[in-house]
Amino acid sequence: MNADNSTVKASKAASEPMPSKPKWMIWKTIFPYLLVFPIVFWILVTIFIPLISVVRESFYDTGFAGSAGEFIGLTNYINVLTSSAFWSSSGRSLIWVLGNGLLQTVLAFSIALLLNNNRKISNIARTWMVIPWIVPTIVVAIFWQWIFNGSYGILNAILINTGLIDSSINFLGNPSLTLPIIIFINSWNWFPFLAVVLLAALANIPEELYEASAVDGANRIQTFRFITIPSIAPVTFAIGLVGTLWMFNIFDLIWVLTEGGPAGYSTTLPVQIYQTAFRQYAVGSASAMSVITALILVIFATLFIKFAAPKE
Amino acid sequence: MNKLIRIFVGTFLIILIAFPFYWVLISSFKPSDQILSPDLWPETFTLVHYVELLEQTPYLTNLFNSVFVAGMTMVFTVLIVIPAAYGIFRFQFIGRNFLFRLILASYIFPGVLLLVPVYQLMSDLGLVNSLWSLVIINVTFAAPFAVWLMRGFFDAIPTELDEAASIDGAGPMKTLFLIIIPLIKPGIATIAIYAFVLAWTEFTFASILITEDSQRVLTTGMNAIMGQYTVRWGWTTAGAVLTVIPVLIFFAFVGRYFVRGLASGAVKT
Repeated sequence: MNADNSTVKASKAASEPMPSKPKWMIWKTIFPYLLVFPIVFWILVTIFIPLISVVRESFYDTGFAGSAGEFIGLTNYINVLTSSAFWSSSGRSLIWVLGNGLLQTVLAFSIALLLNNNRKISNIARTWMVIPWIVPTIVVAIFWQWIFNGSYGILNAILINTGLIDSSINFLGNPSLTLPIIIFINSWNWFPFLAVVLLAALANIPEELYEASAVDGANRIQTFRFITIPSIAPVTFAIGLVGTLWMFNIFDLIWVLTEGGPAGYSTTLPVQIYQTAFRQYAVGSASAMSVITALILVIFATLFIKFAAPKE
Repeated sequence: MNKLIRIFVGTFLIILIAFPFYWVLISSFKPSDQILSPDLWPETFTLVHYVELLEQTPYLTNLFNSVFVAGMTMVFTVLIVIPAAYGIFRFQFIGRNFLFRLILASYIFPGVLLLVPVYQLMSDLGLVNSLWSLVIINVTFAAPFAVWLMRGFFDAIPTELDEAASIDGAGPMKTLFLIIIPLIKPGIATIAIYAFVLAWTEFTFASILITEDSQRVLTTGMNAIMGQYTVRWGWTTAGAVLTVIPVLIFFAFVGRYFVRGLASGAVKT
């Protein structure tokens, strides 16, 4: 039946040459462009055209979003670069990115090494561990605000009952605790994603490599160092780059938890850009900050690709 | 010894992941006079917070708005990502790599930098306070990552199948619909759930583009409910539970494909 069908079609194709070849060629050339046109158009309109307008606004003294400002040259840039608030926010962004990277790597590696086997429970856990990542940010904020609450949070109750502290700690309202705690909460939200990626990379390592290293008498630490780490290097490189940029850009969680407070102690660059544009109504200044931030990110990405890319 | 460490780390991770869910769920069932005391199990159960949340707050309106935004984001993301992925992963054309990189570059792009100009764009289009503005911007952030996710699914289909189809006289569109789409169904499920979840959880743009109460979505609506009433923890925890449930139900059905899709996309960098 099947064989019959294909012979009929094959002979048909052989007896009738391709109709009007040039027309067909043109169609074949433009067809892929038609396929990608919608997404490219969509991205150009919503990302790249707005980007141009950010650059433009950064040279104007625009106040409210949507109002027209006057051209003031580089004044916004000078103001931003000479303000101490901008540099403190940059420092906090650095701490934010490093802290998140470290904590998430530790959590994701522990869970990945734990689940990198074929047990049934591991298979189920590999799916369900993703849950914290798909919970809406606002709910993540509610979860942990409720646990960390300074007056009646359960964490305070536990710490007091076990005698570790005498009186409740206002975790999120404490200048030195607020950023580390938001880093923890954000890591809880994001480490599953990193874990999925790591697990995929670990599962991709050919079994023969481990067998060979066992034959060579390598111990577990040596195997990890010389087989596991190099094998997952390409994936960790990619996720290191993308993840750093993603983490840098986190805004909503910080905003919902503290709005950058207390007294600016959790204000990272994205939070400051938002505040400048939508609380202080200084769109021009916020745009200059955005351009500087984008440049920092581009420089980071370039350096990262240049120095951290795994050797072929 | 080794096993002990595994059990210890495993238990710690399970508590870390599960406890916040448990605690908020349990708290939402406690009557108002008990909710502030840290009992791990409530003395009495009540649904009063859920009833009040539905009757006295715009929760239901917010829910319908969120369903609309997430549903539409899902539809449009799938509609533009499938052809794009088909073009990029199945055809050779000039500018192909450039386009792929352009798409990838946009998914690592800082959303906050775009807040001001996107607000202006939407205000020019008359879409401020319209749910469509959220659909448009959510698709922007969902689509690039979705293209990346599709790569693993396309690579899994042997190109011989396409060639066989074209020898049989099927045009590229027919090949897409008759060969490719049936084989990448799990991939479509993956990007659909990703787009849905992204839109369902989006907060930043929703807080700027929507200011009318009647148009608020769940995330910003919950934030308003929390703030407005000096944190009524009964409503807040009940709202958190109701906001998470649709995501969990969705995940229970397609979670496996989603995680597999993420994994196969991830190792093909």
